[in-house]
Amino acid sequence: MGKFWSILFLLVPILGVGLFVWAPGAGFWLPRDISTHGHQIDHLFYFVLWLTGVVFAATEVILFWFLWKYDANSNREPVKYTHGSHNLEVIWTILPAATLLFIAIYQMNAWADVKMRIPKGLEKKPTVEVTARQFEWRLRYPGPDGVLGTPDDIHHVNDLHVPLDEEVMVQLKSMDVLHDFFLPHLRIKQDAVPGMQIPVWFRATEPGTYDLVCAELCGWGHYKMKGRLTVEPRAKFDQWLRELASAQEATQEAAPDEPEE
Amino acid sequence: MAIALASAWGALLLVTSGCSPQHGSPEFRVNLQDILQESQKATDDFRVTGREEDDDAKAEKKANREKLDFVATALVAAFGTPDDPYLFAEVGLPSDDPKWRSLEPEDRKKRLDLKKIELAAGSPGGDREGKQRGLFRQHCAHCHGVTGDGAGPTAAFLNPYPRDYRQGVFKFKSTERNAKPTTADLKRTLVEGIPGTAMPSFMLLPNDEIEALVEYVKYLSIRGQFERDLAIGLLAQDEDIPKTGAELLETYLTPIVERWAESEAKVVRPPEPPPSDTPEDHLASVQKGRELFFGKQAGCLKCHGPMALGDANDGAAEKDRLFDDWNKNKNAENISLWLLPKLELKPRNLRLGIYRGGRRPIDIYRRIHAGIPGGPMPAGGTEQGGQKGPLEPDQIWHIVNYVRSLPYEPISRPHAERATALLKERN
Amino acid sequence: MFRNSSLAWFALVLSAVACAGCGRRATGMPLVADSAKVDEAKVEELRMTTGSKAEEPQETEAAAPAVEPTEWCDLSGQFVYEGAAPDARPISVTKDEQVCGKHALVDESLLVGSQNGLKNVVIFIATNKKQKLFIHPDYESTSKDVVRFDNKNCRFDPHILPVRTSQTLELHNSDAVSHNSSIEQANPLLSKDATFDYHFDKPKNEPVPVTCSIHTWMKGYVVARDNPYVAVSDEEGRFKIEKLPPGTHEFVVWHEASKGKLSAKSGSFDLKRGKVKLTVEPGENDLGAITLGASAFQAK
Repeated sequence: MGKFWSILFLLVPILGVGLFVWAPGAGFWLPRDISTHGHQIDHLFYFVLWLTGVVFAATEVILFWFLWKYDANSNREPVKYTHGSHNLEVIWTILPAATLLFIAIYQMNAWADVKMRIPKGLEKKPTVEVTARQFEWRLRYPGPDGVLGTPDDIHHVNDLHVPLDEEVMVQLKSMDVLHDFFLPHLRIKQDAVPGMQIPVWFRATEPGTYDLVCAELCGWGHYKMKGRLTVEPRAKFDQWLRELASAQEATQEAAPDEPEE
Repeated sequence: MAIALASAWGALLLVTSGCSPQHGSPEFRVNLQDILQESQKATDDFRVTGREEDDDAKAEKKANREKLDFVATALVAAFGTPDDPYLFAEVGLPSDDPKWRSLEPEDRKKRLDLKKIELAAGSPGGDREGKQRGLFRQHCAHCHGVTGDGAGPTAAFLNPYPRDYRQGVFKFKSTERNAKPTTADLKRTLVEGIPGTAMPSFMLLPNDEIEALVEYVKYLSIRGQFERDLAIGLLAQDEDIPKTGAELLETYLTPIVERWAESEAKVVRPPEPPPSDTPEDHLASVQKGRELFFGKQAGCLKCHGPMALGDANDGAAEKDRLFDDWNKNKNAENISLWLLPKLELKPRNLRLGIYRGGRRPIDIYRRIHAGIPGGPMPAGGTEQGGQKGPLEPDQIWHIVNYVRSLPYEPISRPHAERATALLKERN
Repeated sequence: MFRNSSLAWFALVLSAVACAGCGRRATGMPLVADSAKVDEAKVEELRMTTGSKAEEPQETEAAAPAVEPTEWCDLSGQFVYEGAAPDARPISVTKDEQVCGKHALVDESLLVGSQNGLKNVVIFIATNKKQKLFIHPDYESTSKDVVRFDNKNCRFDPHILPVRTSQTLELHNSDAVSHNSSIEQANPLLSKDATFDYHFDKPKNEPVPVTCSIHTWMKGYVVARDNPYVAVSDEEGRFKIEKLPPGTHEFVVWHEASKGKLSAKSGSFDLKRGKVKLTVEPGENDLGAITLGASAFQAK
């Protein structure tokens, strides 16, 4: 019976590692990275994954080996007790501590790049102000005058457009409770804290439409608090903004043409 | 052994205690609040209790009961159930039905598209082709209720309450005050949401799903109004119980459907605003709007307050406060009928820059011109082909410009000063 | 597991209690809603018969064919408030005090006159589909009139106004300040001397309230009927309905401050749940004093 359980325990690392080997090919992996700093974050992810993966596999194999070797059915010798080993304890405290310290210092650069080192002059030039509210994303673009907070600001909801290949700054606010501005394809994740105005910056390198989801439980509608990010060339982006601005100033509304089905 | 059985039974009971008959198909809720109130009856008027004064009273109660049963029957006949919607051919048809295609365009416009309604009705989930179904219950019912009565489970936590479609009154639309909203109005509400309220934007839903939801809202609204009209006609106005479907249709249903069909013709299309391209023109318009806002003719400040903060009724007694039509008549006598507590309606704080009906100039024009039905905001403009209102279109445009400038106008240095200063500079 | 059977019993009882939550309705709506029965056969029948022409309503086999009367009746009476006459409560004017505060406005929901006459009691003929109601030809001349419901001195003048569905209700503002008159779905803003015409397409079974959202104390009523047989009692509680067709008619008696529907018994005048059957004969029909007990009213 004992050997059976040992094999069962061995299945854990085998299946675990096997899953991670199979997943990327099956599409269950990181979303496509279209940002300029995303590679740093992905690199850290892989580093930690490999490190912990190796330690995990090694620990599990050792566990299996001890289970197999000292199985009670095939071991008739009396049990030998040990009083512990001080050296072993020191080793397996210092090594993990040092590793963690290393990781902490290793990632400082990535953190600073994403959260602290805003490109010069960008704080004063938000591309858009995103206000999270239950359960949508309210957007406010500076209007034709280029200044946010004036009567010609363009208000929109859920449909976030940003220009391609440019440093974009998002001024993040919340209207009610904690939300989280999560752009998976840009590796951007920032809590929207009520009462705070938090700058988030990135540069998108590929055009297309991507997801914007809320990553902080904010109520019953959190699961469907979705937005859509569209990355497009600057000319198209400006055109889109102009269309929104003029629609917002509409003083007339034409009769809709009903297409005959 | 007995103990083990007993505890197993106990465990089973505990586990199933969460189950309720609600699981399974939900049913539409009867609009007792309005029916009882407007017919001036109580629940005892439908039940023979044995304490009646005479046989006449007993007969009347039996007749009331019969009428209420007929209302329930007629509703199922005309509209079906939440899982299985139905419409008379004169009211709606599936758009893939050959009868639909053989209709004239005007007749088609008068009817609802039953195919869209079927897409929105029923339990949420995908069908065999992977198409999402049960859209209303998935997206809307938790606030608006399965019956569209604005009293779903979430509604009690919200201010303002979700729209009660059964009243047939929609506040934010492009049409004259007592006209129905157009399909485009309802679609706009869904796509843009209503800022300042709990109604979110459904912009990211595919277009066909949005249209299905719009159709379903119309279906619920027509159903709700039909229920009221039929019940009140039978109970309060002593009409006879209709004998045929045609009689039912003609007397109670067709008038409602026709009102919806003519909403397109009642859209408020204002004339062009007076020119205000230059800053001076714009400021002059804002100044005129300010004078009108505070003037006697329009009297906006009487409710919106001397600083347009919406605080004119703050601190007033309950009877001096303002309410929506559906909250107005709630009082201690009819409390057992309320679905939701009585909620005050405060006049809009115009300095916030949050406009529930839309922030475009034309939206604000329409609010002033037609007022907001269902509430105390009066109609200030002249209805098309109707009688002259107190405000000319130009005047309304000036007020629109003033209102739109309010969020950017510091209370301490209003535009009037800036306008005067600017004009002084030039002379 | 369980040491003794008492614990097992406890578990049973606990689970029974937990099940008490089963089957409870989500809201506290009165039970009558749940027992409204849907008749499936009737559902089918209604669905199948939408194309058929509505049958012509059977001519009521009335006892006698409807004949235009040659003699007409007048009905009069006096509503008397039984009990100590309450003082009219003054209204605290919260808006436009300079204009509205000058008129010593009072709460008009319960006005009792010097001889305990009750003002503003509305009496009108109830709608009866089965019996044709003949209208005196004299009323033809006023059937297309424009009837004015005025915003005057920050109150509605008259407080209760009868109007026929054939007539036009004119909402008017005589005051220097703007009012709005919220009546049914309409709510026009009325500046000084402005008018707004309103039409009723169907008669209403109850007087329709009219309010102003600026001056929230203002409340008046419009009695919209399809015939002219409506009266509102005056300061002394007296009313008169002229030129009624003879016979037995059912009348509705209504007062805005009544708790629910009015009931009163005064000799042969038997008012039950707001309705009373009266027989009128050609000539004068004086009901005399009709006493309405103070307990039937509440000052709002």
